[in-house]
Amino acid sequence: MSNAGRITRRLLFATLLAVSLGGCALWQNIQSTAAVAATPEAVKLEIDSFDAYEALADGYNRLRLCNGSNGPVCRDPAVRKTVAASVLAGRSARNNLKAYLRANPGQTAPQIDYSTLVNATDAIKQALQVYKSAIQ
Amino acid sequence: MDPATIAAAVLALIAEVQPYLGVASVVGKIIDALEAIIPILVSTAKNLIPIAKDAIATLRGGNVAITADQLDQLDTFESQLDAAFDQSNAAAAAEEQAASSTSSSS
Repeated sequence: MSNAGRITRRLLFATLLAVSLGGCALWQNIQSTAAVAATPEAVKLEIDSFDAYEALADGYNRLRLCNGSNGPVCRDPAVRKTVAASVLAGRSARNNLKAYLRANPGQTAPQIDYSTLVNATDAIKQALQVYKSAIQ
Repeated sequence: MDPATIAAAVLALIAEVQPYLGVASVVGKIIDALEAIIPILVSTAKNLIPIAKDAIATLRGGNVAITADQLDQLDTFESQLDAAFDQSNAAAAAEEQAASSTSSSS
């Protein structure tokens, strides 16, 4: 299958998935940004979520550079810079939280680092959402 | 395996276990992150597999404390992830700088 064919197939899949998730309760949970207590488990899962977005951002960096006519599957320098800043901010909070968990097993982590990590994750998500919306 | 297939399989798996968990909004964040991989063609999709496995292990653990071994594994994985991001970010910045220089000189 050609690259174009694969891209089309994946975009179609993404669209179908978004539509199918749109009405379910789980997807509505995804839309929720309600605060979660910074228990070790919540912190660990937030770290996993951040790491997933960092991997996604790595993939975004590897897209071809947008030139005005090769979109929407391309890299916008402004988006990359925004994402990179959030990745760096999130990393710092993530590493602080891991250090805390290591030194204080089972204890609730500092809310400030947890909130920073949540915000950084959300910022990456928001920045890439612009791209995501453009292709759906 | 196709990245979209991997992501879909992981999504389906987490959606299956989600009703038995008490942290729906957190699970939602994981699913959201995994779902986002589909529209963007990520050559590093395999990076998400250990993250997903790790998240599922945590979820299955319930209230069990995070162990030092888990943190060590996370450190190892994240050092690779950070290095990959830094490398791709630097390369992208260099490419953008070169493109900007070319367009401004022409």
